[in-house]
Amino acid sequence: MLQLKTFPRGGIHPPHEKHSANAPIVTGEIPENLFIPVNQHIGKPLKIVVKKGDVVQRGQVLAEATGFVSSVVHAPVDGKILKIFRFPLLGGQIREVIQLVPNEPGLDYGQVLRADKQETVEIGRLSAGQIREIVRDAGIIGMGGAGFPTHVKLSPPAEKPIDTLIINGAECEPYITADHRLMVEHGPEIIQGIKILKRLFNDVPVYIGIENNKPEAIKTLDVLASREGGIFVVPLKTKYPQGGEKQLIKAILNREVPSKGLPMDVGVVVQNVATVKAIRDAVFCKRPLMERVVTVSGNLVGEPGNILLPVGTPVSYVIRKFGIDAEKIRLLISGGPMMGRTCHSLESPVMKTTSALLFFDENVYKERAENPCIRCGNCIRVCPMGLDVALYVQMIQANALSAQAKEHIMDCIECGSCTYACPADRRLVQWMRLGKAIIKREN
Amino acid sequence: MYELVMPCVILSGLALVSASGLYVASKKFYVYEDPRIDEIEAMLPGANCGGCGYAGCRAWAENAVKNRSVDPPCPVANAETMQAIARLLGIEATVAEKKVAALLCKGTHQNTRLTMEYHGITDCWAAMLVADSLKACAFSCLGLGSCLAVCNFDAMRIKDGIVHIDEEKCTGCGLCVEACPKNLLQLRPVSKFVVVTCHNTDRGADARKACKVACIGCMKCEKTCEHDAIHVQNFLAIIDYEKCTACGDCVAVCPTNAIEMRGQEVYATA
Repeated sequence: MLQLKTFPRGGIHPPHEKHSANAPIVTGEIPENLFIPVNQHIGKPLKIVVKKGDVVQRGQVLAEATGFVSSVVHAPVDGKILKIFRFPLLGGQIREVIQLVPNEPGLDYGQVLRADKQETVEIGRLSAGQIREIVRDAGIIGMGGAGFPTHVKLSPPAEKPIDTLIINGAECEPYITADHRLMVEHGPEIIQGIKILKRLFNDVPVYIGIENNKPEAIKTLDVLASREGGIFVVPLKTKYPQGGEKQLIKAILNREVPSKGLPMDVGVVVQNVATVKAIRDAVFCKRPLMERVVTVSGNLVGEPGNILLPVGTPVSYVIRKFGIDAEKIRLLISGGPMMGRTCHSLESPVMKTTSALLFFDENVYKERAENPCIRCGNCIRVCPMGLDVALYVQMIQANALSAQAKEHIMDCIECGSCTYACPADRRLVQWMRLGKAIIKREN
Repeated sequence: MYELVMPCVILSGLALVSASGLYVASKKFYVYEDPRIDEIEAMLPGANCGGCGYAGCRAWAENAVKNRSVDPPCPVANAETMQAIARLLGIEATVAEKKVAALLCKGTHQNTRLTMEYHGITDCWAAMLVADSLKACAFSCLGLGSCLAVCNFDAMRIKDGIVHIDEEKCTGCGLCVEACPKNLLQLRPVSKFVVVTCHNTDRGADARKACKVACIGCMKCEKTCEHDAIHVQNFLAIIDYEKCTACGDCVAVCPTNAIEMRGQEVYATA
């Protein structure tokens, strides 16, 4: 029997909990207020170009880029700017948001989407420069969670030739099914997106990596891909963090990204399926990235589902829409339970990088005290990057980082496997992140 | 008898040879060290806090003797000590006034409110990785004690979610100023009793909503000040301690009690 591909070192097997895997993507109504975060990407901060009282159209630029590594933000619906102020985001940061009052609150967002013009574009006629320009102007960022501007990823320097393209449909985090549903329901669009990317990189082979707990998605894309040349669906073993960029490259191509390097150093570009869909929409519908599929799940949600929300929709709208008892919410996580962030405001807005909203009550939430390390070595065994986590955390705690540890700590991908495996409930990822922050501060 | 005498003779001989060897070595390899270094080191506080920028008190003393200068001055030692050291070196010392650290926040649990529970690592920098603020005010003191951890003089205590500074124990070494991720600690001359205990640069209404004692940038203090020492920038009053005379006029007009007179007795009663 053919063995499924996976990364060789470390990894964990958390329960899948994909309750919403069979729930089709629905659209909601336009909420009464949208709080659109200005800086949703990694890179240079944006310059706001609208002011209080301005009337904006769907797709109008609200804040423009100030440099190359920077990504614009658009208004998802017609409306009026009420206020620009600082507000807690889902990640816990308090940043500037633009409050937009839509003209037609309560209107089904699906109608707004259908009103967008579809165009037939001859991909062969677009030049690589034109595609990059469209992606940049559409404000597309990595929708897997990190939020790195996509046009930067699509512009590798000439000395680093790209020979393979990997589409990340692994979705290894428990609970999240947003990418899964997107692959099942929007397969043809994703293939169109892949063809645009192929055009950009001179027809390099494309691998779509999907964990084998999503047989429906594998089947759908496999059928579609077999009609095209040079697109291959690769079923992967279900193991966390299979969707990590470096783990995915190791699993599919058996190439190792060097320490402090990027995938382009080994000739690979990795894109998330949702990002590919956004690229397709930007090219074929002239639609900037203004909405995304969010999985709503957790033990407080009666019917877990996937919903297409415009960027800036407050969490309180989701709570109403899914009939969640707001009184019982003890823990709200944006993103998956492994790498997601706990949130502290129910008014925080959905961002371009928010893949899931998970609501839990106190039965799930357990407060645990941090205990001393018992030297079991679990964290070292499960680390997909092969780091000596226990030792580095001791160094960080004692504020005595060796030069060698400093090199290695920066390789941590913050996947949370070590914290998951630790029997002493140590906050290993937070310590590692603190270590990274200390090293960055020193430099 | 022989068994007793011989060991004594041999050991005494060995001792004599070793002693003379040591004597010769100590004369031949003698390194002259200025006796003033030891003297100065004895005069210094001996905290080895590193607040001056040198590795410790001895390193500072060595540098002082070598360069015949007391610059940068020891931030911990008082003015008399610095003058005594300067006299020893035969130079004039321009003595700076003692400084103490002040927390630019009064965001206690009573004045602002906690918006989240935090169960992570007890360190402000670690908490900042999770959320920018644990309280309603985005600029407030996190109260997890990163400053406390670096203080060598036991001058800080956490009470009601903010840090309190014992100004008698504080030596103004400035280590805590660097340790605060929120930039909430500031050094001020000890005689200038006035502190704006807020660091919120939001608009007045938003700041007031977040905290009862926030600076709302109303400009009253700026208008009242006769010495041009307090200015509002970004909705926040900032005191210029070069010009401030600690007259207390601004304290009297502040509508939110965001400016306070802070003598040593303030904390004794708090």
